[in-house]
Amino acid sequence: MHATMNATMKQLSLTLALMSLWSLHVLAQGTLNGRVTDENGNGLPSATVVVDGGKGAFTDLDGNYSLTLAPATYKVTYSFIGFFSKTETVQIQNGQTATLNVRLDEDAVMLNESVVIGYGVQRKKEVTGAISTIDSKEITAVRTPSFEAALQGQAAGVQVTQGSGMAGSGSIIRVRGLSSISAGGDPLYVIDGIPITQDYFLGGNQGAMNRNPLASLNPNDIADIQILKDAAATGIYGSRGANGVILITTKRGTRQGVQVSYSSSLGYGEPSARPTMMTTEEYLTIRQEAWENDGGTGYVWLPYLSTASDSPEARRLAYENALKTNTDWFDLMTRRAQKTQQNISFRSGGKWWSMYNGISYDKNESYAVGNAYTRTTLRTNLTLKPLEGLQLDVQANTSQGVNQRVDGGWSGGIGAAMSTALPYMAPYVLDTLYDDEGNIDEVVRDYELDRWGNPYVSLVNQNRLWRETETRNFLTGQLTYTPTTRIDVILSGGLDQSIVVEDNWRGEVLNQFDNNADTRLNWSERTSPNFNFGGNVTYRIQDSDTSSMSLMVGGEAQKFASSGYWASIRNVEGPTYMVPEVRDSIDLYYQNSELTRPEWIEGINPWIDIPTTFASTFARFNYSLRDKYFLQATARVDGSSKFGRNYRFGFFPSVSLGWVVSDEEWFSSSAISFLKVRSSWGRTGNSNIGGDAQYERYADQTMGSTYAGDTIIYPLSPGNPNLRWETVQTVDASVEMGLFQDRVSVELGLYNKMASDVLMNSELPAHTGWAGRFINAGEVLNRGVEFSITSNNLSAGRDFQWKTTGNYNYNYNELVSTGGYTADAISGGTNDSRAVPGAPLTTYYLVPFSHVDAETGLPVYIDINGNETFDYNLEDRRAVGDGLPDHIAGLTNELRYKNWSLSALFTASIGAKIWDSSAKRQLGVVTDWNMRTELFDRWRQPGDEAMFPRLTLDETTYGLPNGFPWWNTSLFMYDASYVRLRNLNLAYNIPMESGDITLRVSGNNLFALTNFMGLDPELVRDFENAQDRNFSGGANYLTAPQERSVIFSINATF
Amino acid sequence: MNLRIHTLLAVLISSLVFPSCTWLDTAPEDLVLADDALETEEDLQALLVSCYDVLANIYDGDVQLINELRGDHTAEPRSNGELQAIHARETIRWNSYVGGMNREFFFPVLRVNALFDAFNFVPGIAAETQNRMRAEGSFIRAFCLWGAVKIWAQPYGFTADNSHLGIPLPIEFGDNTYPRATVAEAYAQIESDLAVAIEFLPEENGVFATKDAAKALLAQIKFLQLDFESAAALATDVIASGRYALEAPSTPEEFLRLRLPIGNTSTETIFGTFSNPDISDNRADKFSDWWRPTTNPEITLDPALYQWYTQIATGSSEDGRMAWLENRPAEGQLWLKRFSEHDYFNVPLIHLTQMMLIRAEAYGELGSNLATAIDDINAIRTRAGIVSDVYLLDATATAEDVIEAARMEYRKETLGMGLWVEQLQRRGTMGEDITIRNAPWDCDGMALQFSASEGNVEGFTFNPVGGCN
Repeated sequence: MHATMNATMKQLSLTLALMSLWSLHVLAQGTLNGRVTDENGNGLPSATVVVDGGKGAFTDLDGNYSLTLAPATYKVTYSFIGFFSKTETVQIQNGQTATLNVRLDEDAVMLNESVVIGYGVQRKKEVTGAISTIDSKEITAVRTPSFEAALQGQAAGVQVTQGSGMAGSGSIIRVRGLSSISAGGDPLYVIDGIPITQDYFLGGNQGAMNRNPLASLNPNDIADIQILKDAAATGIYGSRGANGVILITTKRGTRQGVQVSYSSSLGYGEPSARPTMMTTEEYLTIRQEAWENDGGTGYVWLPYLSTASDSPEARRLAYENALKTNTDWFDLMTRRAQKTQQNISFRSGGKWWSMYNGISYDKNESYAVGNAYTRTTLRTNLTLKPLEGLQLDVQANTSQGVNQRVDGGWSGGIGAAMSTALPYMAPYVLDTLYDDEGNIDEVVRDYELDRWGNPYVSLVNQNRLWRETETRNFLTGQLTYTPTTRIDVILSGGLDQSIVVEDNWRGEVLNQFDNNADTRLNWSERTSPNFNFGGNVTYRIQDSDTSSMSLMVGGEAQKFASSGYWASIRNVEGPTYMVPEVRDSIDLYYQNSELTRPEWIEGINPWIDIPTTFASTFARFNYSLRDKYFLQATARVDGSSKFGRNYRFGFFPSVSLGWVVSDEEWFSSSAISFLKVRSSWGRTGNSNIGGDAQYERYADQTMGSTYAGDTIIYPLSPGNPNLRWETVQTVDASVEMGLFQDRVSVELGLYNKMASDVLMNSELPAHTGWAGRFINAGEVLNRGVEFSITSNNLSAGRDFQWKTTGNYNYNYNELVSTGGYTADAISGGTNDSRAVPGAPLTTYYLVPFSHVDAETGLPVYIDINGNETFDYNLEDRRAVGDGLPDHIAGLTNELRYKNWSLSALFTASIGAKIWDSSAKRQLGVVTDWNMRTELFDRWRQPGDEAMFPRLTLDETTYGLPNGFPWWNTSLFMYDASYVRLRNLNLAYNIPMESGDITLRVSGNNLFALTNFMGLDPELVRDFENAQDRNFSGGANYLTAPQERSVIFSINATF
Repeated sequence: MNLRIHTLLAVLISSLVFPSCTWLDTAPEDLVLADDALETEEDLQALLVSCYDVLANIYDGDVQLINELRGDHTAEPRSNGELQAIHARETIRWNSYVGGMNREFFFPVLRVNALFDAFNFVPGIAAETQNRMRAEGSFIRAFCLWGAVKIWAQPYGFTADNSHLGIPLPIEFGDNTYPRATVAEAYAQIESDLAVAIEFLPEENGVFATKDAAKALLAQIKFLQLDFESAAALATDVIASGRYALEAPSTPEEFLRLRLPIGNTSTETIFGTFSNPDISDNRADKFSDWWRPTTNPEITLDPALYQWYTQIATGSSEDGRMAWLENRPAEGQLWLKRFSEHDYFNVPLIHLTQMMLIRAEAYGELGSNLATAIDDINAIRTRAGIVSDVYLLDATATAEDVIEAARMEYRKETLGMGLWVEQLQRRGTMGEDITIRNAPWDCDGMALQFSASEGNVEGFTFNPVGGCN
């Protein structure tokens, strides 16, 4: 079949070359026109239309074509890369116009599709690495807080855990498992050839949320995304390819004419789940029972209303008073969020140029009251071909992301609504004020902040104004010189600059207990430029008709820096975006340190960040024999300023082979139309740590510390001059198949990734006097299977079409070694996950819970010897589960009937566990937190079989150590497996004379099937650092649930 | 054409393939690297001062509180679970307050080790200067190791040969880890350091360590080792130096400031830390944080202590030190006002009355020099405002009378300073039937648990969790 296709292509080339000659003839007696579309009815621009006999044409931007033909009967062949060619017969009559509209079916195998690889493109047939491609349609189909979340379920071996429903929240992406311990475990993001800034911790962890560096990117500007997974694919990125590489290519202009696309959407969002917090009556009942279980008599004391030492009468009054209020705090702190998006883009071009311009505005409120992310972007991509063999590509993008922040998690807001905000507390009470004559002067709201941390106050009357604004500028360019058909010379460079300004202002009401200030403003600005420049030369050799080879050699250098300053301000009327002169003063006194600061500027300090640089040299060799045997070898030498001189450079080679078995003459199969096997080995690295880990550092007088009037110098960190790259050796073996004339494509891959010298930020024992240091000590194994399928179940000219795409990945993860450190040496922040050799990363290290004793109601644990015990002993902790799924899958079904289409994307994650750290207090010892109704299933009397033990206010009842109420037992670890309807999409396409209009309604996160006893089994909490992010992906601490949204949109293309 | 192309290629490839190595030298200007930090004598002096700095940070009320909670002076802390755990003598590895203190005790040790290491590569330091620095460093290291071994190990004398486990002894600069040494080894190291300190410390050294301070520290150690002769001799050396004198407070306000001055050094202080209100540098803030008798102090005294003062202790009706206490029977609380009336004060860590009372008790134990001992005790009682003869020891007082009186005054003088529990433990090692809040003086849990970080490396032996109540 492919031989036929090649012949067709040759014929087409010849035909196109002669087109101009044909145009000289004026013999036409009839006209053939029509439109070539894909299965969705979208016009295919630049599709080829060839009439037997040689005449042909390209379609225009909308897929329209027109040919003038002599009267006769013709066979007309329509073809487009990535689609099956189709031949139709038409009769042309003198003076008449025949119309032939053709719908092409997608080729599931798409051998001739160009695939973007590192520093180049390759024909898919020649690719010997594991690469998944996701196009723009799949990225924009799902409305997400940030574009990367849309990758969920789209590619085998790519686990995407979407962040919470908070506006602008990021996702965690793991490509073929997790190999890193303390270094960042996220893949490398490369936009138009430039590795971008992707530090999640530049803004720290404020308000229980990390800043998402990807939130400001406009998904509508993305043409497609390639995810490089194995060493053959990522090897060319060497030291930064170990966690996979995500290549993002933005849209380009068109060959000719102007195409305008406009889209508008409107929708709403709400929490995908609501917490089962108790009402006042329920909470008081539970609390009273706990009190009585502990031997208390009379009414239980109530936080904020009474104390344990109060008289029985005082406690009774407090109890009865509490019953008068019942506040649903979650309801109060959430809303139905509005979402709106406007995009307009222009694609234009001529003989020597093409251009893409895109403008977008996206306001994405979250369901948390007061929280919204507004993104405005402007992009221009320009391609110039001023001379034959010379091409200049310039991509410029500027965006502004404004995040109206609110507290969450441990910091308050919705987190408080699930914890400290007790139902018997009111958001405010009304106080009546009287004038001097005793008349009612005013009735005011009293938020009672003197009694408790009322989370509602921040949301009203502009008491809290917190805004984070990121301005992100990309400017990248490539100059390609092709002096001969054998040589490409490419020079490239780019700047990725992020400027983040944060204003966090607390008004008088919130600041009323601050003796030194009426209001407070914490302000900061951080500028992070990322320079990248390099180039490469490709030399191609065509030895004969049967073999060809190419060699690409290149180099690259990158510098990342970050600087800025922060200020503590008091007694100002508002944040700097409302009171600009405050910003002017900050700048003035920061830039002129000799000036005496006014008292209201309490401090201005610089961020001290360490610039990091990379310098790299790389080469790739490709050899093709008979267009069915393929060899690729890559090598990269990377140098990084992050490592000591002795280990500054790393060498990262890879080699891979591919064999198109179906092209062998002896191969014959009616079912298998295409069969390719490929295998690769390679070594990649990870250097995603800070720039200071290698240095032995001191603090000196420049930090301002003194003692008794004398300056001091002291050691800060021990450094590690032998710090080096974390390396991953990957072996991959895969089979690609096309079945039933390529209507079905299947890919099956096996991989084995062994990470060694894994970077560990090991906490040093107290007696060393040091806090910790980075070392290379760990070994991590990831081993797995991945499978993907694309099946055109019903197609080819039918009104009803059905296409299925699916993917599946099984991954086995094991921390093989920590180099002699114990489990507690490496932990996931406060999340009770530990580095346990022999267990997966993200392992929860807890005291196993057995059951509730039916006679006593006390919890029964499993000791280290496997025996049941009432004693809760932290020395009995062990690996009880982990947060990494064993199986992940995605399944999309697209149904089409004429102009209607319906698609559904299901995603699944099986085998991960969630450690619900906040359940320790929502379902454990009765404290000053509100609790969840699941606790009703508690022991109450001898003989009860219950999920939860007898209630108590005293942690020692459960055997917990005195003063240590954190109940680290597997009772609160839950199965997080789920199947989720990620996206349901109904669209109607209205064909137009020129272009088309699509009306669409889509629902996201409509439901999830799960046994998880909590809000949402898919969650990403806030993290303290990269290690925490690696280890605590499945940990929950008052994390806001996902968002369920419904979006109505219209897309028009002219 | 081909030649030009090849030339172009050669230039491009060479420029791309061999990027400059200097590009990777991003030695950050804002960072102070080890090679640059310690180059001169002034740098080493600054490093030495940093040892005092961190010592002042941990003895700002925190170490003193830990030791009070281990003893029999305090009621259960009001709400802080980690402090309650210390009081209950049931600390676990994850008690962040105890673990944090565990780590902080070794900050000065690390810095002293760094100082000694720097002597190897910083040129031009006169031998006299180096000796003085080495002596100060040795003093600080001894002070911290002794402070740590008293908290995280059973006391000296718990076993006959002191082979029970003490603390790790990191005395080399670096990040090597060590197992726990025995208590005997720990005390040997401490005494070795103090020998250097005594030999080379100056007699006058501003707010920093002096020869007297080293001798006074060693006197306390010898006292706990039941080497009463050495303890008395060392204490006598310090007292006889004439550099220290008892204060003479007369009003309640002055008693509240006894040994807690600001702006100057108490005449009683042999070694202490320094606060500077002019730059908001408060090295006593934890005293007021924990004990401040506002509406609901976190730490209060055990009301039974008030009974001891009024019913057992001698001369309390005339004792000006009673100004330190505020009995609040309605709340069932006894407040310590000694620290919380001042925002800033210099914290005395070794002082004259300790030396006088150690000497007195040592003489009592030795049965010699009782007249001197009686004078010491009476001087302290008189200074306290006790004037009635009945409350003063007369010349016929026996050795037992002296011991009892010395202990009584030691308890009063050091109230809140965390120095009483070690005396109870010492008496336990002497064979007395000592219980501390109804638990044996040597029960599990009296030695606090180490930081969880100590378990990050295989082989570390933790203390039993305890729970002796």
